[in-house]
Amino acid sequence: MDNWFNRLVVQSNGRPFTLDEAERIAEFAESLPDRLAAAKRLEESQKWLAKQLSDVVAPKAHNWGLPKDPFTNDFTQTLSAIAQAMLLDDTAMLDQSVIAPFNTLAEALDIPSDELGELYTIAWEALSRRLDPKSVTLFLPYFSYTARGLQASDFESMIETPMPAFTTAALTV
Amino acid sequence: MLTITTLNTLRDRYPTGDERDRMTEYATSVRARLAAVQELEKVERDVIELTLNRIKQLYPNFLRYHAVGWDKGYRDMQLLLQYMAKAMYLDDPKYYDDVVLTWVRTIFKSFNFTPKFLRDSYTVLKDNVRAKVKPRTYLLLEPYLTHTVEYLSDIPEPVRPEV
Repeated sequence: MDNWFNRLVVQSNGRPFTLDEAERIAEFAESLPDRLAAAKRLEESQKWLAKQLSDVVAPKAHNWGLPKDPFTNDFTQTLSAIAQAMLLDDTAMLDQSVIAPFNTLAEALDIPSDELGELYTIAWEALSRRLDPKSVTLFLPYFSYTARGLQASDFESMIETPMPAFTTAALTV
Repeated sequence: MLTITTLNTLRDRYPTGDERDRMTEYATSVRARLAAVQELEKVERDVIELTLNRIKQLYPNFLRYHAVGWDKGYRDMQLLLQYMAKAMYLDDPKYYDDVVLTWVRTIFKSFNFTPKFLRDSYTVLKDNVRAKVKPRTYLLLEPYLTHTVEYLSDIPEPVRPEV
């Protein structure tokens, strides 16, 4: 998995960590309690969010020819991938875990990507009213990154990425 | 138990309660871990030289079989100390095994080292680390030092011992 931590560990192979590398890890580790608390709050909000989004998703899913509930489930399950990126302090992880798979789905089903991005914006608006301020601060860059990533137009390289399992419910029902 | 590495495995799930507890505990210990790494770096040369001097007494015939054995011994002990420090810093014993310890044991086997030779050598190393660092630092390193002794000496007796 490509993220700053794994890159740092690989780059330091055969030698001790430099002071800068060790400090980067220490600062990250010290931020973990807040990150873990924010992830827990998102986990606790997942069912609530699915309910909130249900009415928003219904007309969109209908327009895209998808069943509402499986799509909502797939969508809310991507929140754990967003939590993972936030926990690891690396927005770019979302390129592979959320943005590329959804772009593949959009390409396959002829869904406008920007409408998928809009769903993340709507989800974030709902969540940001429910989460505590510290969690909002931690999660904001990740929801923004996902929404922007889906709304951007140049996804040629991402479209080549194989679709992960979480999209299958939307495709097979 | 892993800490930061655990986060790599999440993706489709959230951290469990145990994982959260472990990572929170790690967060509170990371500065002490960094201080321990830095302390070990400072005494590394002394520890290894003391250890090799003792092994020379215990195994006077070693050079007959391994012409540059002491130079290589210094390099091997330095490598293992540096990697165990990294693994302790990351709270990731698996990293230590995967990246260096398993590989080093294979090399040692090919040199016809005996289990007793490796147990003696790395027990001396462990004792010298204990003598040279603060108790708090030793406490963090001890599981890795003990594991090194046990893991490296867990090899079959060679047909022709060369120690």
